[in-house]
Amino acid sequence: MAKKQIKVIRIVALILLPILTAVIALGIGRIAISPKDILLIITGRGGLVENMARMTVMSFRLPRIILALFVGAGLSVAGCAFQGLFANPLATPDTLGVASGASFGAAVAILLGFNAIPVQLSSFVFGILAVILTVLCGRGKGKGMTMIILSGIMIGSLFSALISFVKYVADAESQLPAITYWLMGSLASTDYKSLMVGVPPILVGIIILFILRWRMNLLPLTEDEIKSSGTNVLLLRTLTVVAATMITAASVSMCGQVGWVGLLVPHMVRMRLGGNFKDVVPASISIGAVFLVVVDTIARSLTASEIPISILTALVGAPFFIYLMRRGGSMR
Amino acid sequence: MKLEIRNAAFSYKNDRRIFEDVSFEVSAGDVVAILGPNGAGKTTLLKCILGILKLEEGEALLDDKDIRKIPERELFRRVSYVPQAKNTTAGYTVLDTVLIGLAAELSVFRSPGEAEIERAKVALRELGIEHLIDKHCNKISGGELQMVLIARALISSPEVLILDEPESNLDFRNQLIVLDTLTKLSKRGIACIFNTHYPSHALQRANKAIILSDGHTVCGDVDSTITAEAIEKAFNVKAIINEYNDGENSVKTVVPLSVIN
Repeated sequence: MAKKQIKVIRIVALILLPILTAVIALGIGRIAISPKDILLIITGRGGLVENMARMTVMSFRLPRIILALFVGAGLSVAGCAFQGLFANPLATPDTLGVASGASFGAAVAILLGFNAIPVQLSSFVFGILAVILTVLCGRGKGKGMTMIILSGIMIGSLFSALISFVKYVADAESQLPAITYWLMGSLASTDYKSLMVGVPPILVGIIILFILRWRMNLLPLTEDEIKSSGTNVLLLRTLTVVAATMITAASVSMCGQVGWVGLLVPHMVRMRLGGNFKDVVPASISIGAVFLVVVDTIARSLTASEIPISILTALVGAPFFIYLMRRGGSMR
Repeated sequence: MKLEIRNAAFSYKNDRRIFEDVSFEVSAGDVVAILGPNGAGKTTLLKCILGILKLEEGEALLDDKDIRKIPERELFRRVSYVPQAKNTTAGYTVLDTVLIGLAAELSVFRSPGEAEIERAKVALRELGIEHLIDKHCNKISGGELQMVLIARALISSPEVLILDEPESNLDFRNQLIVLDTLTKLSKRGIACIFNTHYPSHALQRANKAIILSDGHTVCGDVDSTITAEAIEKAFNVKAIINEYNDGENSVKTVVPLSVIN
């Protein structure tokens, strides 16, 4: 009975936590706004609140926080999926070269003078291309999962080299800083238009992985064990890879390489809840969303000028990770 | 239930024959032991019986139907596989691990619920390891883990259990526990097919045996198959079969004497 109650409390907490964090984060910044006013504004009764605050919340903070919620949730669950897929606790969205491929796509688009949606599309296309290349190179003789990781690393470094090349030929006055800052990761330049393009693939990916959550427990098992469980191995792996890649590419295209999230959040969750994907997947989605909203809020409000979010995810993430690790609880 | 292997042969691509002329029949309650030196193809044969690998020649039939033509979901509800305990990734609790055995039964969109957890408890209770239910799989002993993997295979109420060296890497007592479990399950009508490195275990527990060795296969009833001559031929080891009898128990063992060069 007690076990059941804990479960219910956990589910409620996981649903409420991101919403609560988002409401509080909406009020934090150069102009402080009370949670009460925030609620009035987002429920459409903002007439009672002064114009300036309404503007700030609706056109700047809200889209940005929506982005943080989705990217945080998405990258965390994608990390979760890759870790299961490779039976490797250190696997991240970068393992397949997706992040590098998507970054290259965006860098090229910036170089060619595009902005906003074309940058996102190009990033998305090259992200997908990177996975396809990785899978093609890793297939064949070796067949095992290590081959795919190795080829992922190779494709990743290939795209990294191409990014360096793009930077090298970029105009040092305007393009180079733009590409460099974008690569560092920022959620600043978000509007509803780019959310309309970037969020749906993340949402679809999250839903796929959420549905598959229990079956994902099969992923780290041996080939024979998966096959003898009567599961279509190829289909399960393909669905997982496609969903996780779609999330990663869409995230990278919207806000650059936000590192650490896909590694940090699933492990934090695992330390508390154990290795069962049935629990880890929903918790990663929720905690990942909370995590990125918190970090992004710090990034935009700690100093007068904005701090690139990747620096913060590493600065906040690494010590916290070490703390959790030292406090005990196994990795898997 | 009738599982039948007819004139089976297998070789990996562009390589020598692993085994050939393997024929045997398994029905409910049979215990079949597969013996043979390292590299003789014991595990390969198991994989062919599971339909994971395709036989090069011959057939594997379950109730007269080709195993590879039976839909996986249906096949693996009737046939369960128990891998070696050392090969498994033990990241889950015992309960989670046992529930994985229901993957063939549950639809893609479903997760196990209360009813399934109850079945996991029954499977664990049957093997006398219910107390392990909340333990982490990497915090239990190798013997316990092997029993958990057997429970995972049993939760789907299979008709055939296929075990890959179930008593390898275990201590004396745990070997006996695993073997007793096989005997118990076979009395309940479950057919067990297992690989082993111990000819004595085959003699003591199986009623049918298969000895694989370099292009030479012997299959049949255990007493006519596992003989001193057969052991000598397959393993290049001089051996005798010893029988211990104290009036109550009669235990046969294969005693290795010397290596034949």
